[in-house]
Amino acid sequence: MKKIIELDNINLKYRFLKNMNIKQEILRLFHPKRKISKLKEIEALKNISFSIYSGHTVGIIGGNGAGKSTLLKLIAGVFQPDSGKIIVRAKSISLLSLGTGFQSELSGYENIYLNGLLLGLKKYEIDKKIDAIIEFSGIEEAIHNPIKSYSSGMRQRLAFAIAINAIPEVLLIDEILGVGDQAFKNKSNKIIKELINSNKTVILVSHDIGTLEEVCDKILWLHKGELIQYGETKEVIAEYKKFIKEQK
Amino acid sequence: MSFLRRVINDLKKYREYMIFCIKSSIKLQVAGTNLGYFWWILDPLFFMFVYTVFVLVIRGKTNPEFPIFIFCALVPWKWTATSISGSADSIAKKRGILEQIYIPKFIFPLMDVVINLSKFIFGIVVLLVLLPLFKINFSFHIFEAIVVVIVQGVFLIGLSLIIAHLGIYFRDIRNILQFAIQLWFYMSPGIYTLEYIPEKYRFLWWFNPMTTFFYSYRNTFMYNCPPLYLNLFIILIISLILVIIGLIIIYKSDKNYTKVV
Repeated sequence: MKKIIELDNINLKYRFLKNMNIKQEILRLFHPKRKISKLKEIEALKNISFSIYSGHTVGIIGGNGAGKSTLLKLIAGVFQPDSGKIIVRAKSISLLSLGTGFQSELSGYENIYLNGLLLGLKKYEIDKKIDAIIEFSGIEEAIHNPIKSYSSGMRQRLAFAIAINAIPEVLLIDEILGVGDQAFKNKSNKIIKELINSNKTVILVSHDIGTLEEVCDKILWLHKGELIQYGETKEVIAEYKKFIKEQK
Repeated sequence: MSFLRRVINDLKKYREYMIFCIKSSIKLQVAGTNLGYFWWILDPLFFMFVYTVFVLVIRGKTNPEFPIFIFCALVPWKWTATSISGSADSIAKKRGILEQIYIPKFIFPLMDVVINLSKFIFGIVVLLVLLPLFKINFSFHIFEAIVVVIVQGVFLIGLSLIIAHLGIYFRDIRNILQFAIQLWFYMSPGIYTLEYIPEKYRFLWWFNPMTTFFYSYRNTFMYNCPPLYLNLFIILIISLILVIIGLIIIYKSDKNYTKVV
């Protein structure tokens, strides 16, 4: 069993650009000693190190602003750390999150191709799967309407349907397990369970302790950008529950 | 240079995506309008009309080829103007999808230049139809325009890459570009010839690549002579350097763009 994801001393900051404009830069040229209001920075991840073995299912828990989504995006390749090393030994990674990365002017049909191609599928593969994807998402005729006319539920379902069919080696799920009506929830939970039981690696951010206890091999607990604990599900959840009680 | 290999690998990997993206973007350009693709013909024609009237008003007369003279400059100019003004935003506007999945960013300014190229080609087709209407004889030299198109393409890609990178960090660039492009047009011999510029300043105009492009297009389409190969060669070298610089700076920031809020 190989280590499919390895993080070593990762630090990551967000930079706020409010103060960065040409006027400031030109002023800085003339008055190099002048104190320009510092670019605001937020440390999203501090000194994070851990590894995940392939085929495991890892849950990530933590309060708001803990850095969970940032961590997922880092693994997906959306960000590069400011320092530290991250190694991901997977050919395809799929990130499912609350934004859906669609081009809202284009139709659902076209977006299936666009997203599918980005997720590593070839056009002929998408040609074969497109009907299955449309059916799974439950969108039917509206598939040819522009995405901007879709409800948020429709968008989530479509994103889910595409990502699932791309069969990635690593699936990152950011809190979207609760989407859609009961029928869709049943479908998607079934698929997620299949993926979890298969040799795919799944990393899941969720506030639903029950689900995490059920499906995860290990839990990663983040708090304000720091790694509090990473270990067997039962242990970490117990600690987490204690922590929550003490907060009250 | 292993970074060139990275560019080629990325182009191969994202080839199908880029082709699909370009095709849907082109369809999208006409989706909101009633006249659709017809606008790609009307647009350059209208501007030709406007500038002809403008010069008539100022000078009272023009020679009969003047509308074509302008048209030969307007079509390449449109390609330049839309590519450059669009480039400041080309990576920034894709924020949504960039927060979901990794895509090498350089493909966005690249795709925008190609999308605008398709409109340019349309304009050239219109030009070819207009030439006999204005009784201009053309010869095999029009094929040499392809060389000019290639050099202009490389030039625009180089500039777009750099401006797209700056556009993420300096939001003001988009405003500045509005004026810069206006000024640039009037500083290019689009609606006038260099004869109107006093001799001692004329050399300055040659620092502007559009001067070379305009003259080359006019040579091939109107005057039956070759484009300005020496100038084009120099511009090509400079453009290739711009492309390489653009690719390097975009790759360096490739996974940092989304951290900028």
